Amino acid sequence: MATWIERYQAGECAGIWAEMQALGGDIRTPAHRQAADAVVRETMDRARGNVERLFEELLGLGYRFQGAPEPAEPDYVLELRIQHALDYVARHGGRRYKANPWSHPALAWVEDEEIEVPARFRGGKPGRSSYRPPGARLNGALDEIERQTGSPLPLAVRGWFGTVGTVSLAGTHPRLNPDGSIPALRVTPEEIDRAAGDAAGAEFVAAIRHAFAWGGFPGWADRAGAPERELDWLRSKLLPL
Amino acid sequence: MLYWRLLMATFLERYQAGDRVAVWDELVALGEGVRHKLYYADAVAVAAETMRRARHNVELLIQRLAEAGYRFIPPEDDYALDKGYTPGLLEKQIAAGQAAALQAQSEEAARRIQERVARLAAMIDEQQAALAARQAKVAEALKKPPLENPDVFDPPNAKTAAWLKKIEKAAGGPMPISLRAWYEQVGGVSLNGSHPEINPRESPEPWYPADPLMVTPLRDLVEMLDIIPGEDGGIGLLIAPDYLMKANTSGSDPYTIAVPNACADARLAEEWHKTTFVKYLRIAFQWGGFPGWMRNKKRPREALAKLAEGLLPI
Repeated sequence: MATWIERYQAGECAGIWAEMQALGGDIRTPAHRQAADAVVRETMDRARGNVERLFEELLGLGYRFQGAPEPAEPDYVLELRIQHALDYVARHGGRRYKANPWSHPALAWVEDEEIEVPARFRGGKPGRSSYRPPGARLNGALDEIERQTGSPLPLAVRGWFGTVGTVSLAGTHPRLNPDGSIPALRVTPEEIDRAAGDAAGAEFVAAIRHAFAWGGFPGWADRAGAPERELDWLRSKLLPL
Repeated sequence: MLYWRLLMATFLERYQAGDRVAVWDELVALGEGVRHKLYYADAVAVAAETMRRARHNVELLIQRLAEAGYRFIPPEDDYALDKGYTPGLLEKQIAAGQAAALQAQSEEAARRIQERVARLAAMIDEQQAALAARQAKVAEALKKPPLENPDVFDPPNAKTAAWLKKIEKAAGGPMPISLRAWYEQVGGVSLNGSHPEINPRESPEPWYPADPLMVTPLRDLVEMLDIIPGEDGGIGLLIAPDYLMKANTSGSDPYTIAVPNACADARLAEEWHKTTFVKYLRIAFQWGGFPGWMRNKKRPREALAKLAEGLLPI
């Protein structure tokens, strides 16, 4: 008799999640928890890989990620600080940092201080509002949600934020998202269905699976004229969940 | 229905179907993503088609201008010929030097003054030779049909591919797809010259020069590579003098395109429409090759309309 993880890896992805979901809150009992965790880990490792590929491929396709709303008045102090650091890297960073000055130690504070980089410095590349890796702050936000609802979040939801992080593919692209109105993959703690219950979270996985099936743009599912060429390209890069 | 069909079509199919402006806008919106496997060949095909049309337009404009009696001689050449060589300061200095040499109190002083006189005489010879060369060049240019004069139209040749490669190597990256396609299909163009109506040497006030379409020949860009240093490894390609310099008046910075630039099209910096190369060409053709008239209400409407009539939309 194959285990859940063996069957999942053999391709029975949706079936395994349905079985886990059917157990309701019992999925957390010692009899099932270890096996369930293995499936959650595998699913979310794949999801993380998919998200990374999507960011990479979308950038390659010229997708412009939407940043956080820009303040009405530019933050001149922040902009000067960034500009000076970028100038420093340009002058002293050498060839190694030419392609990606942001990885230079002179700009490490941007990540450390969780700075939302103004759009003019990002050039359409994903900022903090498009992707935040898992971390203590995110875990704290999830703990707070669980405290407020009085029940644990579904395993899949917790697994996503513990492995993948916060993701938003909002942005624009002449074909994939011409005016930015096509709903794109977006998973943030603020948008968690708080009434999802304490089960495995198959519905959450199904929603993510659906989003990946549309190359990260599930909004095309109910619209005519989807950019099939681009969607096929993106789909071809993703692993099934 | 039509919208969905257009969305499914390739950029080239849409361009050929007349969706030209939107196609270029979308290619530009792709940024460097235009070089993605999904788009690159399509984008290059659009650029080639655009520039094939541009070449047709350029050749037609040159023919029409020639038929209208346009003088394809840059104003600076005409100005020099008008002025000719007039004896002046140098001659006076020579005469004074010779007198001084005669009166010099030592042989050494006389020798030094005579050396100076000889240098001044050489400068006169140089100026006269330059004027003679300019006269010969103009005479030669006037003998040739403008389409056969490389100072007017310098189409691509066997060296074009190598020159493009050399520029991209010097810049450390690619030229925008539009500019590369221009040089592959069209080449150097200069509608600079004069015509009493279309490009008068003395324009009515307020004076807005006609700003004739000019794109520097590739061979000249390659020669300039040695003298124009790049910034951060990049270079600014001098596409044309600014509208004042074209009219032989003290002007501003030339119209330039910065490379490397991996996008479909690029900003034509310093050009007063503040737009991209393809959009600039569109405007230039709309004005019969003389977009400067756009700013002058006293323009020769009929002559410009005749020039622009039937040009292919790009």
